[in-house]
Amino acid sequence: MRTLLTLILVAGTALADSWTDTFSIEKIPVPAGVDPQIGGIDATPSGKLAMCFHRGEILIYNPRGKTWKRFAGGLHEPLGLVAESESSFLVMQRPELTRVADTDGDGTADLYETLFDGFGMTGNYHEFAFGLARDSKGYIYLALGTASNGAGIRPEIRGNWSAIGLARENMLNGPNWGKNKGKAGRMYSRVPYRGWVIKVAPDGSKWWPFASGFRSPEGLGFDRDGRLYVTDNQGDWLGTSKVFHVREGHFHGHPASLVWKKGWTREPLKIPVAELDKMRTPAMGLLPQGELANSPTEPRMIPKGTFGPLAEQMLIGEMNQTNLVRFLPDPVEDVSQGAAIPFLRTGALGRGNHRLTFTPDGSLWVAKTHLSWAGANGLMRVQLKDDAGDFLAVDRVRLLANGFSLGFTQPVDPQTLKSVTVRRHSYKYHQGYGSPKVGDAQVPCQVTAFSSRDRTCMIKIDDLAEGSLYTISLPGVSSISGKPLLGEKVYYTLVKRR
Amino acid sequence: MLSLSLLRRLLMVAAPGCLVSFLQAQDSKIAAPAPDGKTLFAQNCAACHLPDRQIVGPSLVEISRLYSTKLDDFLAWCKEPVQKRKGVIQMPSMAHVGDPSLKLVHAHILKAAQGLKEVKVKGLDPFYASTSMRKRPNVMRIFMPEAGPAAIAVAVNEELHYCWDAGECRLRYIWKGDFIDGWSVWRGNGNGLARIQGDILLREEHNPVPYADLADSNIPQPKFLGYTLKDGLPTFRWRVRGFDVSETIRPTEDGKALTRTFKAGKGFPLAFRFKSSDTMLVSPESAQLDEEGSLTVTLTPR
Repeated sequence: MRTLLTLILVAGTALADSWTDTFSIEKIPVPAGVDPQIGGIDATPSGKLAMCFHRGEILIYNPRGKTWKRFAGGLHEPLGLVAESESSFLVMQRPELTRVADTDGDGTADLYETLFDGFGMTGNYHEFAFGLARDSKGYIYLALGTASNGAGIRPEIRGNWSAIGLARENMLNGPNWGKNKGKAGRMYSRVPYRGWVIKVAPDGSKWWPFASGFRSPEGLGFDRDGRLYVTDNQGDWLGTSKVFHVREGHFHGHPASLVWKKGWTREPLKIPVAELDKMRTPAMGLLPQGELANSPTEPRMIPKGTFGPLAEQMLIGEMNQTNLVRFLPDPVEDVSQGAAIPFLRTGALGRGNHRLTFTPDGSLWVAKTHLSWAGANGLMRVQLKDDAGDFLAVDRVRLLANGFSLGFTQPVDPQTLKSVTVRRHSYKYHQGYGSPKVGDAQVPCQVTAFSSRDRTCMIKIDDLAEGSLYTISLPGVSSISGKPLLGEKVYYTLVKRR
Repeated sequence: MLSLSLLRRLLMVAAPGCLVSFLQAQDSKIAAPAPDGKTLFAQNCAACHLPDRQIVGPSLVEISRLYSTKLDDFLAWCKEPVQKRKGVIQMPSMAHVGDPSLKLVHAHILKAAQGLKEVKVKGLDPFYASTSMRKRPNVMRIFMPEAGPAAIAVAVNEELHYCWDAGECRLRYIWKGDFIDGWSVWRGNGNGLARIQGDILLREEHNPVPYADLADSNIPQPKFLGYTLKDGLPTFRWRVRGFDVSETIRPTEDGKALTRTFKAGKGFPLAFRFKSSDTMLVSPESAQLDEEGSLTVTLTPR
């Protein structure tokens, strides 16, 4: 008996990283002379890749001939791109949302049309402008990062100054900043709509402050059911990084942005935490720091017909871990929650996974950057290998009244479910930076059944606790045909019991 | 430990469709396994510190050199960091990690830096001479000195360059020499300003469109509309008081001077005012739009 168990364990270990058996991961060389940090990527209708770079170029890569062409240049830290056609692109750059287009047909851009610049800038480095997502009606969504007290503001700003907080002269970069910064808030929003998601009409004629409470909302994307996903980065008020389902008018927990709410007059740092806690919409997914994600980036849906059984699921990029995140929503009534699962967790992918897109040939393109933090640069192409159609992954997660049901892409060898364990913890909601795990403990669980008919297993847990992150570990799980499980952890954010 | 009955159940052959059931080892009191120094470092520090070179923060080699025998100083720094160096970002406090864990991190740093040497990050822009940077004319949106944060740097030709402010919709200054060194912005995450590589010939302190002269003295906020490129040179467009206004700055034929052409459509009510400097002559210094709604002035270095 002992021998058999040992065998199972050894087999599990040997097969622990089989991502590259299932997916090919290829690095695409970027032309010399271009700083290869990529801020945004999208596929054009003909299957070319348009990318914007750290120093403002837009280059177009044709995967068929492996050729690169310069389309535009001079953009200010562009961090999002949407291809409207072969010759027109929406770009989110630091100061504005811009349409960059070739109108005379010579193959390079001659029009840089400002669609939206109705937000403020203090010159603080952390006031990134992130994007972009488009809804089914063509409305454009972008997100504005707050400023960091790693620096102050510059003498000249754009936009109205909020009088709430430290006086403007005390916010300036310079010799006094060291003394003043402690009173500024770790991340601050003193010009309009920093820390907000903004909705813009397709032609830029109108725009709306859409949702507040963000710190550094790096990526936006819509899922199959029209939910807007926005990621935010661990730091002050965020015990760990998060993915939100963002709805109009909601507040998502970082208080600095509240000063731009209509009629708001209070100093955000003086509001009792309990009051903020009541106001906020909790994250749909908590992404544990150091384990799954330290800096999550763009949510992007896997298109129909791509990656086999994972089609139409959401992927999320990640800067500091060598993985992406796959997210399976499991809403309970009107509360959004669900499960995050590591995807492509392999050194072959590497870090810096910033923007994602797909081409009709079934390739996932991962565009990388670092902006002087940890990360990487360049472009990767990921394809499902031809013979990998029967890979094993969790593709459904459902909260039950007394546990979880996990669905698999293949029938699982029930014997390999013996090592399933479940832990539970939460994070502090406070002004401090990050949070330790709170109440981290293993919880009793029972794998009650595995049904090959619908390829599900039930994990019975008593006393499910709302406001907790459940970590379900599935080490060594394999299919009946012997395929190892890809993504051996399921991180379920339980906001509301079912 | 697994019970005998559990083992028996585990050994039941599971044919497709067969249900199995077994209990997991469980103990709600099992505390989280204490993370080691390497894990703690990965969770809290790795985003900003590389082993052998400075990125956002100093390398582990440097931290080891500073703190290998000064654990207390290390702990104090982690919990209450201050800004030591110009141009870098201050580290956030790691007080929440706690002393016992920070000690493990300290030990990990010393171990990880062992045998490594600091790789000096060069102070020069590796792309300074790239085609993308040397292109003339060139339009580059980047943080610029003496301008608002939505600044645009333009190289008209090899010699003459200017900074245009898309926040205020106006020219800020013109310089002669080489274009910009943007390395202090591009090497990091934007916490710097580009440096102009030459001498400023003219600073335009005031908007040449004297909005303050309007009868209601209500100074309007112009709305930036973007720019078009022709032969690489931008025409900036903005809207004010219902008028679409544009400005194009071009080199003269010999490339030694510049012209500025404004267009505003018929009926724009204001004369434009310009001011020469000791190093640049503007001619004329006051001009009204012609019947076509256009005016051009010449700027000559002197």
